[in-house]
Amino acid sequence: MPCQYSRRQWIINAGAAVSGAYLGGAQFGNAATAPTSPVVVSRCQTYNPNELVPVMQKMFDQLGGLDRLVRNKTVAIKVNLTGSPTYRLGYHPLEDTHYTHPQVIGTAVHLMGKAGARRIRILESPWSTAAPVEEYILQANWEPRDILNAAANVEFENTNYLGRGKKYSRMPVPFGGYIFPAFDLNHSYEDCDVFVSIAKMKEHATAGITLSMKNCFGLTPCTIYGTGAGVDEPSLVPAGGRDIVHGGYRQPSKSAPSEKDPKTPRVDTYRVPRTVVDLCAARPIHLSIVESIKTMTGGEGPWVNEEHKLVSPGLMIAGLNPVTTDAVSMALMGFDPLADRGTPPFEVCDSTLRLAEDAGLGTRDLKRIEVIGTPIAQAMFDIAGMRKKRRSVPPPPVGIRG
Amino acid sequence: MVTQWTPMRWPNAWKDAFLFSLLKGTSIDCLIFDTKTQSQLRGRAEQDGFHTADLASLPHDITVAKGEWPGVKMARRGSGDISAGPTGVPWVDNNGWKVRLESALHPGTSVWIDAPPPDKSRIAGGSYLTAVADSAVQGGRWIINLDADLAEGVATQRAPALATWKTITQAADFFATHKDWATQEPVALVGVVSDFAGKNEFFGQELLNLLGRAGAQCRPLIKSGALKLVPPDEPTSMRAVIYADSDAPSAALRKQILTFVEAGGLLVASPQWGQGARGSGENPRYSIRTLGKGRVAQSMADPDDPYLWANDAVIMVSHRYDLVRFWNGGATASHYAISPDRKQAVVHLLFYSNRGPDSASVRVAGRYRSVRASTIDQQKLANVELQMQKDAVEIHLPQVSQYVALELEA
Repeated sequence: MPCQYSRRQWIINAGAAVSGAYLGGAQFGNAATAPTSPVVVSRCQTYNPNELVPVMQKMFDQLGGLDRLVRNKTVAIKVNLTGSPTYRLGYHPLEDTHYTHPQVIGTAVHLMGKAGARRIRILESPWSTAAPVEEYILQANWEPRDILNAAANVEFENTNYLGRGKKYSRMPVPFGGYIFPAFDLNHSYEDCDVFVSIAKMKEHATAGITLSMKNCFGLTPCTIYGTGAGVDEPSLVPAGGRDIVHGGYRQPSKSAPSEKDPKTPRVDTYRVPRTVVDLCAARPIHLSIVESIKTMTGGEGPWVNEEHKLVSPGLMIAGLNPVTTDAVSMALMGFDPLADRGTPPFEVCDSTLRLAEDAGLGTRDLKRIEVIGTPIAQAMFDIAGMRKKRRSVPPPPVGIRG
Repeated sequence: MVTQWTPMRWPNAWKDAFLFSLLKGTSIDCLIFDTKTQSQLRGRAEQDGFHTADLASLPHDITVAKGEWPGVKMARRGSGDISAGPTGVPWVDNNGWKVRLESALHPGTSVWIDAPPPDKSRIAGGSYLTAVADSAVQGGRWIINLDADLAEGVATQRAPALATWKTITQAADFFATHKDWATQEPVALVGVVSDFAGKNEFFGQELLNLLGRAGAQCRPLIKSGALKLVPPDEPTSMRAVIYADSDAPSAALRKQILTFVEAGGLLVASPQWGQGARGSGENPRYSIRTLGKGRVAQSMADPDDPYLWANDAVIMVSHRYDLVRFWNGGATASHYAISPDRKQAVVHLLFYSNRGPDSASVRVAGRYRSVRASTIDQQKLANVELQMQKDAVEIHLPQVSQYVALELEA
């Protein structure tokens, strides 16, 4: 599906969009008319480029080809590098358990470069630092040059603060927003023609699951939305996590749009799913990739108070709509994408997918989603079953010592 | 020959001479008596073969420096909360940088750190292990000093107190047995060039302290002496020097440092370094220009925040050149020393927590083929896994306590 709109048109013409009809104002309950888009499911057992490159090439071909999406365009890729690079699950490299794997990132960059992307920017808001993303991933034992050299004109940008921009970009939520009507974000999220989310398939302690939409929670700079955010103006450097968004104990820096209604619950299981949808509407995702060749169970990182395990589902998922992609990914985890609060994985939180569907971003109904490649029933890796079994006994003592 | 004693401050609560028997068979061989009321005990100690001293009159080849009780710093508000730095990482007090500094300022002396435990605290055995190791890994000695509760417990033979006492003496003995490690040359990523005196004292010392907290091994380079800088062309080479003194460098010093830079090093300098060619505008705080194979990063403002400087320096050098990198270690420190032929090394690992980590990994820069890990009570740890990487080795440790020594061979 080609990207027909420049970034300016996305902001101005909020009522028209490539992947769905974003309705102006707070009109919800659009499940029946929420757009659909095919999702590709592929088996991939290893991160070896000899296997990964042809798998990802085929997936993109099955979605209509990368050329139409990225040729001569500036592509921004949001990856998932959640948590400190010094925090592993046991001895496992972070990329096996909870970071987007660098081979997946590098392969995506390589294929986009081959498809004619003019510029590729890898974005992340690393934990509590304004240091370059390259320095962050060096601490994880990665070699940033492997990604930077995967295509021409590739760069990283730390989006947890102003970065290389002269000002933050105001990104309005076209449907009005559940929590925030607009966000002030690093310029890179505006200064792109194509926005890609490459996520790791994981459970999530607050939001139930984290896939291509939840990956976008990290768009918000902690200079405005974080623990150490300035009261009036953004702080110069980020400090801590996004407590303002999680708990709402205060508003973001006054220079940025405040919440629509400060009387809504100050509870993270209410706020986080809604903020994720607001962000995905403000910064639409053109290509969602969920990698699950290896991942971990028990949460989004080893700090979560549950029993964790490294698993190897051997899957890659991609789609041009984040809701349909995440719905299929959920099903591949053994969960029902139509689940809502009270049902796994949303035992204690609202469903990001349901909220996104209600806002018109896409459908989560598998009956309306075409799955290309390996059928869900054949590819499913029962993370849901492991969760159920795990939760039938008390959790082990708190996370990692030391 | 430099005096190499293992000192202990005799507890006020130890009134009975029979308590000297507790020290028999340990490496503690020098007792510090502070009060006149202990003069009889002092005499008895000398009769029993101990060296005795008071801090005001030590042999000339011993330097004593005031230190901090090492460990994670608790917040002053006394809530039991942990004090954190600007990024939320816990502050850790340690004395390693102080030992290095005093050794550089007073070469040819033994350095003792005087850091009594906090008043009115119950200190666990692991914390005493940290206190001993924290100074000893740098070649110094912490003056063993028992908190009041422990002193009384040992005197009255309480089992938990005796267990802590055993940890202390084991740790002291471990380092006394490995005095040869002090002959190895400390490896550092960053050198801090200063006289560490007068107007430069605070900033220079804080740079040493905070570079360590940022995970970078550093070395004080006294600017009045020869700096011995070599081109940074090995995995264990020093990569950068910081000059933050308030006065301009001498011509000779400038030449030494710029030769290092031209060979590939990085200089992080204050405005007092002097005018140079204008650099690129990419960094908001430094003007950075190339010089030969290296770079000069000159700050645009006078140095006023050592925390910022230390962290800026670490980023400008780049984590690519980390000498020691931890995973799952919590609050950590390390000291890396190498043999003159560069074929052997000792890397000391310190974990500043109540309990040591149970699945820590560490990456050590250098082309080594084997590792032996030991602790104060295990000569050779089992279940240590070694992974070879490019110009480095990664070591997976089993559950350990607060201190581990890694002996590496090329």
